[in-house]
Amino acid sequence: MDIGAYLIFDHCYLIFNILNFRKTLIPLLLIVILANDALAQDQAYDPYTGQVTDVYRSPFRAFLNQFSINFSTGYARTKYTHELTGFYFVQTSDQQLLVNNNVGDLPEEFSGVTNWFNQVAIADTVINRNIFDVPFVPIDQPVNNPLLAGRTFIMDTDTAALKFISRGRSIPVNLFVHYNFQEKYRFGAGIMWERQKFNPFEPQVFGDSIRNFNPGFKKTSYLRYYVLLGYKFFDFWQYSLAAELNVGKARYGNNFVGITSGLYTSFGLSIEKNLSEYMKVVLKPTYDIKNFSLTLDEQGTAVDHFNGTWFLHFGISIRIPEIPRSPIAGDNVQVKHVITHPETGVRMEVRGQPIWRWNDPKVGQNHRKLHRYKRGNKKKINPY
Amino acid sequence: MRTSFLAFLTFVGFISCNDDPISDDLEQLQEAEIQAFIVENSLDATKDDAGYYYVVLQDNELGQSQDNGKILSIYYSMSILGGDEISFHQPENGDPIKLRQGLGTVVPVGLDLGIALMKEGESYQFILPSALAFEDLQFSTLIPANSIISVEVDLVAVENEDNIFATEVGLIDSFVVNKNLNDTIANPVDEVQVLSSGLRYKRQVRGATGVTPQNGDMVEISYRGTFLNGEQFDATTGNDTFEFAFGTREVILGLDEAVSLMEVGEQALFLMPSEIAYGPSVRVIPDFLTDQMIERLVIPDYAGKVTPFEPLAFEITLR
Repeated sequence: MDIGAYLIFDHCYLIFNILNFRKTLIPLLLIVILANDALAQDQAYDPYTGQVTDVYRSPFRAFLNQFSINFSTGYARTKYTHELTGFYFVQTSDQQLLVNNNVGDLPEEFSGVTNWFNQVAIADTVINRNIFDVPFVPIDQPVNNPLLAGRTFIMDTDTAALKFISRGRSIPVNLFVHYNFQEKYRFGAGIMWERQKFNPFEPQVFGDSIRNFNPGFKKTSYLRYYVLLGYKFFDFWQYSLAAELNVGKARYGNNFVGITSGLYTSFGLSIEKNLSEYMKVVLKPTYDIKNFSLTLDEQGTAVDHFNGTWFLHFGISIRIPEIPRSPIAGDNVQVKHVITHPETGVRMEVRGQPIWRWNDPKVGQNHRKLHRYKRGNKKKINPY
Repeated sequence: MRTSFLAFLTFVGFISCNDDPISDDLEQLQEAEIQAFIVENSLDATKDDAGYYYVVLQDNELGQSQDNGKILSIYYSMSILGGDEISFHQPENGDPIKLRQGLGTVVPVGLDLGIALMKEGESYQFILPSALAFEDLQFSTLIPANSIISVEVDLVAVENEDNIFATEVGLIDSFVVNKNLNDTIANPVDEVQVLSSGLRYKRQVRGATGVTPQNGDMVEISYRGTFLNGEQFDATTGNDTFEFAFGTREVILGLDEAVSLMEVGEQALFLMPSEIAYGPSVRVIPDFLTDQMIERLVIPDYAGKVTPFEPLAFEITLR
């Protein structure tokens, strides 16, 4: 029903209450007549569609309203793993290196590559002898002697799998836009920047002998571009759930040189609380699957690295309203309504509520928290 | 909403926290466990500043006391505190085991510290928290990680290095006699030479060059090292050789001295007391943990081959 009809109904009911009419038939008849009159006087009302047809609505706004702009930040944990096979892993007092094990037995002196995580470098020459073995000279205070940490450790990674794991934590900043198709399907694209701090790699075997592998830097960043596909599969009052799939490309920080990486894929569950038709807050756990590889030598020997990340995003999602806020300062009407612009005289549909509050609310949806229930007032005998 | 945000921040703060109070907690838990054990068993235990407890099982006021560096002969039995036995070595198992006290050659380190309190003829029980025992080492189901260890020790003898040296030289000379090494017909080519260091030198094949190594020369040898019972503990294999800088203290004293006596191409047998070999080496109690201790970089590799105060035989060819 049109807003005019509502207002007329209100006035009539008030009048008849004042006149203390107990019978309702007469007022109802009057309502129908007056309402019809009112509508009949509005030449722009289309009785078939129920729309006021001469009201200006911006098509550009209507178009933009189909999109959601999302901003989020949060926390992320990345697990870096790589398994070394086909190498001798060699650890001396001051370096860790890989030597391709197709060379056969290691000679008395050899070299290899180090920093196989992010930027390959040629290692210093290693003299292959254990000075803590027979017949070298014994050491003083041998138990827990710090010199022992310098013992050369050699293992063939084909006889025992050697895996390193590191965990990084990061703060992501994420911005993406998606188109809402039929209010269920989402298609969009976004960009995410991530600042990450990570720990040295810990060996998963021979932890007593192999030191942590330190790539030489502790912080890096990621920049990701992605497209998004989503489906909102659940709505319950103010809450919605949507599944989202991201596919994109991750650009690694400057610390990574010579790596090759493919597309990454991310799965997420968007848990949304709808503050209004136009604004929602979002909590979104996601997991992305990605990897890269680093070529070590001219023969193409490479180490594959996996660096999946768990994210917990926290952010807001905004849709640009299809109608503007009422230009009349005191207009706080809780339904979308038509006004005549006080300056231009254009009839326009407006909303009386800000973007974060419901327009056309259901009962209680815009009910504010009572003063006595606000934080700090709960335990007061007299909160006012 | 605000509550959710605060909860999120709390969550982030929680998972960002890196402090690791585990070792402190473990120390306190073990301290409580030890004290409960002492009360339950009515032990007259004393806590040392280092963190271990000891109980005097049998004292001997007149027994010989000791200083750091003394060589001790002990019997022992070791168990998890209030639990299963781990290992033992008692008179029925043979001669007491020898170790050098106080110079960082004994595992567990708590035992090395505690045994310094004992006099000859005394028996002590030591209760070692894991930090002074095997830390987080786990050995099958016998020794769980972070175990509190109880060790009962009988100190049988306190000796000095001269005693040990004399004993070892006696064993070596017996070996020479038993193997008839001075018989140059049965065992060519020369008789055994006795050197002041205790080294015994038996030339087996003469060198043809007359060239002897000089200090700092890189020398190349092949060798086979055995105990006096003939058991091999180390050797070069096949055509492989071992190279080292002669006379630079790179290798054990006995080997340097041995090579100094040789000429290129010569083959000889050398018998050496532990004083010019690996001396006290490292005593790991129980000995079956030795490999794991090497792997964990707690002790050097030679400790896995040569036990304390072991005279050695090296058959060497100077290339």
